[in-house]
Amino acid sequence: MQEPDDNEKPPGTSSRPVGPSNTEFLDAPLGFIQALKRTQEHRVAIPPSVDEVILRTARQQLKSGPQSSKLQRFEGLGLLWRKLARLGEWQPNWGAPAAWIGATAVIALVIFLAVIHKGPSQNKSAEKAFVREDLNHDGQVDILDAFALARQLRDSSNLPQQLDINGDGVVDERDVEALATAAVKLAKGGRS
Amino acid sequence: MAENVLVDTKANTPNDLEGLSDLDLIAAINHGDAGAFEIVYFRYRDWVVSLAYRFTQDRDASIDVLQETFLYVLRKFPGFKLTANFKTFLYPAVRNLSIAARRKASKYQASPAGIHELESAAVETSKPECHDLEYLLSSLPLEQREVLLLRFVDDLSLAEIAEALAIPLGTVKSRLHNALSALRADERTKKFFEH
Repeated sequence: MQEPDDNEKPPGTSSRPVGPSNTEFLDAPLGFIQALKRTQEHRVAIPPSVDEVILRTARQQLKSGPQSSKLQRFEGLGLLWRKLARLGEWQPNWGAPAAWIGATAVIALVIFLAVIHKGPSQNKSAEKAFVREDLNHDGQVDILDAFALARQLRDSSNLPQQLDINGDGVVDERDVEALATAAVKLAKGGRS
Repeated sequence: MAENVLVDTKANTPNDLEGLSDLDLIAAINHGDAGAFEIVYFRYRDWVVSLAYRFTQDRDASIDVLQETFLYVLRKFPGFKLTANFKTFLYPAVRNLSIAARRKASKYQASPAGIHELESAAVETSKPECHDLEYLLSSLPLEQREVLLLRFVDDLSLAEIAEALAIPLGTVKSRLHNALSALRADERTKKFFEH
C-alpha cells in the first residue's frame, strides 16, 4: 500500500526523472507547486473575538468536561449497547432472547432515568429564560449564538439594546463572553 | 507513547508546549490542558480557514466553519485518539461544514447533485480570467482538483489523502495522474512542466 518514494516526501522533491512509466508521474515541478499554492492564497482575517470565544469555550469545557451534553449521553448509550451485545455475544436474530430482553430493559431504564433527571419544569423555565439569547433561532442557546453575536458586533456598530446580554447598558464583547459562559453553563446543567 | 509525555499538564504554558508534536498535544488536551488546545488551534487555524474559503468562497462563512470545526474537535475530548495526520482528521469536517454553510447561506435544497454543483462553484466564482492555472483548475473534475490541491497545496501524502477522502490509494493516484496529465497537456500550463 505504501509507496515511500512518492508518498512520504514533500511534493516536488522527487529525485528521479519524471516519466509516464512510473509513479514519479504523480509528482510535479516546484514551479508548478508554487504557482498552485498562489492560486489558493486567500487571506481571511480572523477577528480576535473569534479566537477568544473558541479558546474560552475550550478552557471552560476542558475544565468542566462535556459529560452532561446530550451527545455524550447518546454516545454513552451506544457504548452500553455495544457492551451488552458483546457480553451476550448477541447476534442479529431472535435466537438469544435473554440478551435481547436484558438489553431492552436496561435501555428502557436508562431512558426513564434520563427523563426523570431532566425534569420537565426546569426545561420549561430554561427555554423561557433564554429565548432572547437564541440569536440564530435554532431553538437552542449554545455557543453558536455567542458566535452569531460576535459576528453581528463585527459587522455593525449599532445593535439593538435587546442584545445587551449582561445588562450593563452597552452591547459589546462582554455580552459575547456572557453568552458564551451562559451557553457552557447550560450544557453543564443538562440543557444542551 | 504520547500518554507518557505530559502527566502533570496543569503547569504547562503555551511556550512550554509549542515544540510538542500533535500527538503529544492531543494527549495533553485529553488530560484537560487548555494551553495545549490553544497551540493546536493556532497551529491549524489558518489552514482550516483557508480550506473553508476554498469550499465556500465566502469570508464570513469561512470563519463560521472555523468556529464549528474547532467546536467539533473540542467535543472529541477527553478520549480523542489521533491515529493519523491531524489535517487528515480535520479535512472531512471542514469540507462537510463548508458544504453545510454554503447550503444554509444560499437556502439551497440538499440533494447529491446540488452539493456537487455547490462544490464545483467554489473555484468557478474566483475570477478565472485572472489566472490560467486557476481557470484550468476550475475546469478539472471536482474529484481530480480536490486530490491535486490536497497533495500540492496542503502537502498531504497520497496515503493521507486516501484516508481524508475515504477512498482507495489507487483511486487517489489515478485522480492525481489524470489531473496532472490534463495540466501537462494544456498549452497554458505545460510551461510549468517543461525543463
